[in-house]
Amino acid sequence: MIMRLSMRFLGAITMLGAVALVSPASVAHASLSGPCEATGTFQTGTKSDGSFTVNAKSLGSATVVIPREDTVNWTGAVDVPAQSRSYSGSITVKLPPGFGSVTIDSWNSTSDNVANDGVEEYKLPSLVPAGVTFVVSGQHQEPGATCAGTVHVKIEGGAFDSPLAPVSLVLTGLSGAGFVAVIRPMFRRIV
Amino acid sequence: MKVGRIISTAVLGFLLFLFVGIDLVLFGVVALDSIVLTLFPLLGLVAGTALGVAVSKRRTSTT
Repeated sequence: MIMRLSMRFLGAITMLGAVALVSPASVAHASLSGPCEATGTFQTGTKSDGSFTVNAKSLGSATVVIPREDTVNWTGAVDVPAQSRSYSGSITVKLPPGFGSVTIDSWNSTSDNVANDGVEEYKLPSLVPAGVTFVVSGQHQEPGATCAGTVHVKIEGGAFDSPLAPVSLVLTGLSGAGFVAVIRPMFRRIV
Repeated sequence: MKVGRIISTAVLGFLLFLFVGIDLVLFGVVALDSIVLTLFPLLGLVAGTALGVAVSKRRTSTT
């Protein structure tokens, strides 16, 4: 549940907060295609760079490093006539090939808004590993507009900021020791 | 050939390579969507099975 929530937050942040909050207005994606726009300003920002603003349209393929917790001022807009219409979309995190992806948020409703903004606070649990590149994809559809995009996101910090790293190292050591033990006879001399 | 030894070597090879792949992700060497995470456990399974067969044959030949 915690992981699901954290991934939901991560997706929301990486999509610059403009996810389900931006009534049909839009979802923001880095490397964004389609008539959508979105920006997010991280108020505290990272330890190295301080406060920063991300514009989904101009981000390109750059990896966004985000702090583990912050407050984001987000905006989102879609260039379509302001009339009542249905919209839908989703955000997913890509997993290794063969495992598909995890949907961390989706939306489906009707509205006549074409732009929105807001402030979103987030705090990612320590279980979410820092320094790992997450590939987050999103898409938003409504009559006359289809937007899609992908963003590479990293949480600021090192591997040992998460308890997962030492646990994984211990398990690697244990399985390695077991593996060496079972293949050891191969290295014994035949007398 | 001892089937039990082959299976245990294969399982341990699978686990070892799986955790090595996870370590590579957690330490930022490869991205979460990298094919390494898919291939490593399979490689471990194959390598473990092969080594298990080799160990088993060697043990049989020495007894």
